[in-house]
Amino acid sequence: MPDCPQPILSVLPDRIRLSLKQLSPSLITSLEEIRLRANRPLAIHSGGRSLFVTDAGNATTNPGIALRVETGDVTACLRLVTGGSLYTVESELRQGFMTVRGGHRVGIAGQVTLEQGHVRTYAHIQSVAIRIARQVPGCSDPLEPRLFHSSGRPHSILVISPPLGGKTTLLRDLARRLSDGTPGQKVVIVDERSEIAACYQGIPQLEVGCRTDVLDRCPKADGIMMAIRSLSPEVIVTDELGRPADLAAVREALNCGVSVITSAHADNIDDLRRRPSTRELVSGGLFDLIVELAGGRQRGRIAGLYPAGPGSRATGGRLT
Amino acid sequence: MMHMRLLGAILVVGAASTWGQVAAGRLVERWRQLVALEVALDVMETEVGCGQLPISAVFDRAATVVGGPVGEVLRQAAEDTEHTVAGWLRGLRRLALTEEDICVLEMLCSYLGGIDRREQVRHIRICRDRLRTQVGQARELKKRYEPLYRYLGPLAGIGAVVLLI
Repeated sequence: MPDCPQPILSVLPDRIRLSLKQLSPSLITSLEEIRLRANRPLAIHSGGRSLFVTDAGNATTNPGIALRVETGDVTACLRLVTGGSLYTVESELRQGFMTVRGGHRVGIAGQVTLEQGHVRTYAHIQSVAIRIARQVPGCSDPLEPRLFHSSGRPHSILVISPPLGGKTTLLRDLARRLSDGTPGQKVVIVDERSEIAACYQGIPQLEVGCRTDVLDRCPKADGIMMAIRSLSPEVIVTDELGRPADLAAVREALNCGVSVITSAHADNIDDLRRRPSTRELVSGGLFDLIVELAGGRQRGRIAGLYPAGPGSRATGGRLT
Repeated sequence: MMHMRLLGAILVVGAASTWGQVAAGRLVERWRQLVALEVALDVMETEVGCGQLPISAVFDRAATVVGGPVGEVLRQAAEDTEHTVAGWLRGLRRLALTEEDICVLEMLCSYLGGIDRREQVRHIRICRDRLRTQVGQARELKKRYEPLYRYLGPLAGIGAVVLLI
């Protein structure tokens, strides 16, 4: 019978843990999120559905009969996540999340304390959102024939999809495939939000390949330049391009002969072309291939492949 | 009969002397333990302020530095990584501290581990300053009453024997 991942159970207060352990196997298998909000019902997100959980571990859509989370539960959860040492995770708190063993992310919400206009810490944390890290090894299989130039150099690839479309999952699997492949590539992941490799204390908790180095929580633009200078990568993998500085760093990497595999938010390639901030990703001739993923219920499915390199960028004609 | 009286007198004087020694020892022990706790708070301030150690590891390091009964209490608390601070608070009650001393440390316990570094260090400093007052008071009591208890015990015993005989 499937159970919640142990690292997650170990950061939950007793009564919440007992309740979740009684969930049906199908809900546990597809569990995506657990949400503890003070004085509100215990909520989960499983299989694309938002549900509440009762004392007896039954899923319901009626918040009135669900287990009520108390402030003490949120405090206890935080104490377990931080080992009773909130001060040791200050830099993570400033970003609004922490990563626990197994690569699962614990997001927090509450009253923010500012200092000189920047987040310093949280005064009262009243919400905890635990996102369960999952990987899908082999999800990049359909891309295998298109990963390399005829010269043997890996293609630079841009993955686009709506939110929750599986971009990060695909990037992770591409990093693993290139790193573990024959011949294996030296891969550097610049993981600004700890989502690709899901590092815990600097160690990747998800499978990213044996020739992969990870710059965890490192800003993309800085990380790309640091990687080029010191890690001699053949491929740089990073998530969610958007800022002009990121684009400049990607351009620098490509000029140095390093392939870049990255992602951007867009519903489809037309959406990407329409928005001024992302237009250059298509028209700038940066990437050899653009992969469009479907969102919603079909998330993770490759909806389209577009050549985007020089020569074909004007048309951006569809390959599949 | 004489032997019985002598034995009784010895017992009375012995018991009174022991009481005096215990009372004097408690005064000395309280002062020593408060000084050790002050040192432990110094270690905590350094480790919390400069290091990245979780609170249980901070307690363990403080235990190594101070040793003795205070070190033992800190070490036992450090072993329970999930309830370190609560364990320490329980352990404090096994020491020779007064309710007032415990109250000072109890206030710190409600913050230990649960707030950010800067506030944490601030509360440790506040607690140490208050503890310093307690150390001063304990030193004064020790100076004034320790010899008194040590002599008063046997003298009270002799006095009781004279009255009884």
